[in-house]
Amino acid sequence: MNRVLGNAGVALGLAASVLGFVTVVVALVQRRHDRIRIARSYAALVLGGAVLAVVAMQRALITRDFTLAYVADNGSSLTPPLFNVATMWAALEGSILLWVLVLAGYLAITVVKFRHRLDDRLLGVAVAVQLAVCIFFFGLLLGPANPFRSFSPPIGYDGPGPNPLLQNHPLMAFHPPMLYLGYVGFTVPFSFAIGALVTGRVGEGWLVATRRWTLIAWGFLTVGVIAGAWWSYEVLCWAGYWAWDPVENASFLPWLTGTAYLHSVMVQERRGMLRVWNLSLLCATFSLTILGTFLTRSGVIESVHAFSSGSVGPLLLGFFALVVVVTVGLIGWRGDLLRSPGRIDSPLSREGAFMVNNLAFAAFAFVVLLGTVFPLVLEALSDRRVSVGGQYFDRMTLPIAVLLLFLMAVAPVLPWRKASAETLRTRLLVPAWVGAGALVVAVAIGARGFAPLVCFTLAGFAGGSALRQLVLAGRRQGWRGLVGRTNGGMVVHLGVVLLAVAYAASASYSHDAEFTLAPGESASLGGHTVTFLGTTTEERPEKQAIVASIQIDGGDVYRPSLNRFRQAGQLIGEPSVRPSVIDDVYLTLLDPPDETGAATIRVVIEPLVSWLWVGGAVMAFGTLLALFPGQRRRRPTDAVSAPVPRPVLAEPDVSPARPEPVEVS
Amino acid sequence: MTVDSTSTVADPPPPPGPPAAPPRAAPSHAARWSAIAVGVVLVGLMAVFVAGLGGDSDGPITASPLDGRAAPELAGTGLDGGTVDLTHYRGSWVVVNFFATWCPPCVQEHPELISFSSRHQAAGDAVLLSVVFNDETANVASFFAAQGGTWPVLVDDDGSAAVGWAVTGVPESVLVAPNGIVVGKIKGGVTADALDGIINDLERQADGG
Amino acid sequence: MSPSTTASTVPAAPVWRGRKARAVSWALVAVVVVSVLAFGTFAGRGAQSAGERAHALAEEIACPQCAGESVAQSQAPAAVNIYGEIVRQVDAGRTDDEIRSYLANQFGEDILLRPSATGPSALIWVIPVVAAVIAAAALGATFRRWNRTAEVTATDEDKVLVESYLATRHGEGDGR
Repeated sequence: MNRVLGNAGVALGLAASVLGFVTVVVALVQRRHDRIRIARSYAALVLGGAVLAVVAMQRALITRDFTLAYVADNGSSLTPPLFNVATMWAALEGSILLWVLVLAGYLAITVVKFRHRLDDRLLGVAVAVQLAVCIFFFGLLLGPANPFRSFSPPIGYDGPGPNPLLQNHPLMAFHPPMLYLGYVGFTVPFSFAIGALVTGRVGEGWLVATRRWTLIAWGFLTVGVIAGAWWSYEVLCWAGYWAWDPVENASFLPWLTGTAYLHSVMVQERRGMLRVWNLSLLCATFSLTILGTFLTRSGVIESVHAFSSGSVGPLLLGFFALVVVVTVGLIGWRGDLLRSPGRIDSPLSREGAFMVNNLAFAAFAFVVLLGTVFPLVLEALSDRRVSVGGQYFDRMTLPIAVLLLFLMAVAPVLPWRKASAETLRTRLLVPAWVGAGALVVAVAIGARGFAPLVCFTLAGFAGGSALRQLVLAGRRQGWRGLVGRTNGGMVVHLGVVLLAVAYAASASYSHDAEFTLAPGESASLGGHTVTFLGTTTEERPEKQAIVASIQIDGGDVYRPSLNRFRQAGQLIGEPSVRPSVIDDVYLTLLDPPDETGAATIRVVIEPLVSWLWVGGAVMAFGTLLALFPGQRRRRPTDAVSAPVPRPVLAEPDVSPARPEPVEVS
Repeated sequence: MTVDSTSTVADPPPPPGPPAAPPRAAPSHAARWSAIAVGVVLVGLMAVFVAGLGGDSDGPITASPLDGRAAPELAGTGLDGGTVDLTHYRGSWVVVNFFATWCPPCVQEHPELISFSSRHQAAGDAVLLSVVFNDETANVASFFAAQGGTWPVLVDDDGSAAVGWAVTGVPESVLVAPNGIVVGKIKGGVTADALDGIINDLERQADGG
Repeated sequence: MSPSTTASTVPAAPVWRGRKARAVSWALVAVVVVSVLAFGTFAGRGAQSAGERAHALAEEIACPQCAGESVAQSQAPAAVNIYGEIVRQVDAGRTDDEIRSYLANQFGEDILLRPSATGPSALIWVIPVVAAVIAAAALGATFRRWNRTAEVTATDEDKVLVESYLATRHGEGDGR
């Protein structure tokens, strides 16, 4: 039953995508643009198919329908309800199903949002591109990644359940959907970019249409990446959150190019420049999501969290090749015609800073991509096997990150066109003092070392600059000083500052030690005392847990454990973390107690890690603020710094002079 | 003074650009050349991926940096308290088997090792030498008492033998030729027939070459 | 934190004084940052203990059993053994390079998480630097070209016009 429903849903989605694609393409070729409107019905059918398939899968998981091979392989009667729902994205086939659902959702929203402009040629191409992407992913579901294959379970069969690491923490139910909403969301701006390239309309019109989509996708991706880091910190016993693992890099790469786009698009809006570059960034972002999916699902690269390989690898590679051929071909063919004349007056200007920013982000993405694929390349070329670990990425990206922090401090106060040194001296003085203050505070509380101190200083500088902009905007516009793209962007900057500080501090000042303690014994590390109280064994339906009780600083008791999952048999540790604003105490149980009751525990003191999660939340909040439409406050010919026209009913502005311009765009 | 904030750029599509900008002398092909360059790099990258997808067609023997080198030192206390030294077995094939009682495939391959050992016991042309990998000596002793097996077992308390022999996991068996040179490594469980097959192949190659 | 707020609110006459205060303030920032940074970099930089050295080395060595983890992070038996070996060799007084090359010799070059800067793997260090230099040079050249071409100069009349406009619109006339 579930199998039939699911397969029917996938078949419906595929058929609707193919028919819709053909219809739209024919309409475009024949220039019967009114026919593109039919795409709405097809989009509805595509969404219907995806929803049907997902409902069938969820139903099968909830009812433990082991006649489905996917449920038999990944489900279990012992899995708790939340993780049972999340089992849908615990393995390859189900994760593609989630991908398809999100993709169909974006397609439906696109055609609804632009329903009045569907006869526009550019929009027709965009819809056709989205339908083509749908065809590929539905095809995967019907072919090698079919989640609805049948299985004849023996009587009394029970599945192994999802990987035990995936059922330890509620974040697992949350992180993949966020990531996919981001990943897949880039399909929309990409499709508009292709539409612009095909129709040759690279004017600023399509930008306005897609800017917000990019921001939404980017926001989800940000949340997804940080939630993934958090999950890995809370669940895997390694006391870290970011290891530059290929899977992490795969999600980080589109984030980098997407971030570059969000900045450089402003140059295009203001100055009409960088059009082809912006199109290329969107194409690169989408291609990188496909490349990342290929890298993590084909088994070409070893990784802790890669999905097991299957026959989807060659297909994903083929799709990546297709995307690359189409986008690179289009840019090579039309790019030169679409470039705009124009020049930037001075490197010392907002647009100059954005160009350096883009250079930095492109370099960042290049380093991450190179480090990720280098072992493969070298093995293919010279038969030598090498590994590229976190230290390479840390060392190579540190100068870029420092440059970006510096730009974050300087760029927001730079005016468009041309700045004088005097302007900078005036506007940056307060932020510079904030940076110096951050440095003094850091050194006063004992922080040492050149690289982290430079990070703290620049973070203070950047944070001061963002705060200054927000305060000025707030003074001018009240609560509206917080919303709109520029002001929301400043809030995002504050989140990034928190992340930078947290990364530098936790990478430089953590303490790590192992202790074998008898019950009642204590050990000290990094200013904290841990007291081992003893262990208990707990029996739960899905696992047997050896739980250690450890008291931190004579206060609360924390309970890291070793779990033996009944279905998997492995012994898997589960850490326990005492979070705090200053430092986390991260406890893991390494060895079960011996005859005397003494157990080996690992204690890691990690400063400022909780700032990462706060920083992520601030970034998400800032993205929301940026999405909130700022007032249309200027006539196009007004100076950038022109004051906001007050609503007619408001009191006339009595203060004769405004201190200084605030960017409101 | 600097006129720093007088953008006159209009929002609508027509390219604003400064009106005074002179028309470019020659049309630029920057986008085309960049696209070609990026395309070439990406085609190369995809070729690498295709090669990577080809997969590893490993036989039973895994390549290891130890191959072709003199066997690393392996001597110490045996399970029975006596000394065990690899150099005593020069002249015979030696299968150095790293194992632990907590590892199911090790337990599984044990009967095969017993049969391999008994096949060659009389002739003495091949010897089995086990090394305990991260396990308690007491567990190993009771395991051998219960399961059988009379070949020498080396206790590697500090794991230095495992590092010297580049062991990545258990079970792992390293084959040492009669001349004391490492000829191959088998990751995972082995069977007596497979071991004999490998030894025979190697002997035939040695005779042929 | 800062004694001087934005000087642009100050009326025309004390501009000069505001500027001077600003210059002093900037000099003060520079002195504070440089001296505190120097202190924070060089003070309290104790010698690495043997345990710290071993841990730092272990972070550069891949666990051969588990993809993507270092020996320092992993609890896999093979990783524990290698960690033990590193500690033994550090205690025996061998240098970092000796220990690294010993392990690479035993397990293969791919056990080193930081690719060596010699041989073909040096490419991974060289390529980004070369690419960054080329890209920065290209951006610099572009800016210079833009700077040369189409120099539009504002006449004094234009400046007066703009200034008066700005002053009436939103009081920016003194931001010179």
